Amino acid sequence: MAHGHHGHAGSAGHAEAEVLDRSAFAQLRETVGDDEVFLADLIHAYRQDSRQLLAAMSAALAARDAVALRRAAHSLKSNSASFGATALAALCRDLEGEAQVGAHDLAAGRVAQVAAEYERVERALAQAQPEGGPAQ
Amino acid sequence: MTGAGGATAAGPSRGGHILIVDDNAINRMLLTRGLQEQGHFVTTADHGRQGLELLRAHGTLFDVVLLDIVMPELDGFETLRQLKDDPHLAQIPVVMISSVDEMDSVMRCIRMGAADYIPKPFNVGLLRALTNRINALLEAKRARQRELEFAAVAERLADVVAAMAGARHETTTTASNAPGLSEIAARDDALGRLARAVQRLGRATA
Repeated sequence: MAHGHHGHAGSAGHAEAEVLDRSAFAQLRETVGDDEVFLADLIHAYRQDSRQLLAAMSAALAARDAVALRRAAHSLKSNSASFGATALAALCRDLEGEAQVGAHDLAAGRVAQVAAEYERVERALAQAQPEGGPAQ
Repeated sequence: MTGAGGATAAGPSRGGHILIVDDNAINRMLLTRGLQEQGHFVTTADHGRQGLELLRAHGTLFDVVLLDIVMPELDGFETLRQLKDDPHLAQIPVVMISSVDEMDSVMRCIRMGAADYIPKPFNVGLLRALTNRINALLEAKRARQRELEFAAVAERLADVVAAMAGARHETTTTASNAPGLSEIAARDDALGRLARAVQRLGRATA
C-alpha cells in the first residue's frame, strides 16, 4: 500500500504552547469530509474514552499493573494523535515506555502530567468545535 | 459489536464485508465511515476475543479483517495466530492497524501472514489507499473463486468425455452437485463451447 504519510511536526520547530496541532486537526476535518456532526460525535467519543483511560491509568498505577498502564497509555496516545493533540500523545508515548520497563515512580509523575495536559486538550477541543457540540 | 451497512451496500455485491477489530472507538468510527462511504458492509469488534468469536461463527461472511495490535482481552498477535491456525479462516486477508512507531510489530505480523497494514492516525490519503487495497483483495478473492469453479466444471466435462469414450475407469468422482452437461453448455465461455461440442459429438455417435 502506498502510504501517503503527512508529517505533522514540521522542521521549522513546533510551538510548545499549541495544544492542538492545527494541521493535524485540519487533516481530521478533511478525513471526515467536513461533516461537523460526525466530528462532534468523534470528539464526544474521545472525551468519554479519555476519561475512562485516565481512570484506568490511576487504577493501574495503584495496582502496579504495568500491562494495563501501558495499554491505557497506548490507547490515549493513538486517540490523541488523531485529534492533533501532539504534546499529549508524546506524554503518553513516554508513559507507555516507562510502563514497559517498569519505571513506576517515573510513570506516576507522568500520569499526573498526562492528566493535566488532557484538561488543556479538552478545553482546546471545545473551542475548536463548531457552535453547540454534542450535549453531554 | 455493531453491524452497519454502507449507503450503497444492500449486501456485499461489489463492496465487501469488512470486520474491524480495534478497542479504540475513534479508529472504529473513522474506519467504519470511510469504508461505508465506499459501499462496504462493516462489522466491528472491540477486541481480539470478540473478533475471533465473530469469525468462528460467521467466518465465511467476512472478506477482509482489519486488526489492531495492542488490545485488551486478546491482542492482535494472538488473534492473528489463531486466525491463521484455523483452516476455515486462514484464507481471509488481514490488514493490521498500527502506529507508525510499531514497525517491528507490523513486520512480525506480516511474517505471521498479515496481508498489509494501515498506519494511524488515519487521513484521507491513507483511507483511500486502504480502500484500494481492500478492493484489490476482494478482486483476488473473486478471481480465486472463479478459478475454483472453472476447475470443477472442467473436471466434470472431462468425466463426461471420458464416459462417452467408454473409458469409465478413467473418470474421477465428481461431486454429486456438479453441474450437468446442459447446464455447462449454457455458459458463454470456452467451457460452454466445449460442452456444446461434446453434446454434438454425443448426438453424432448415438
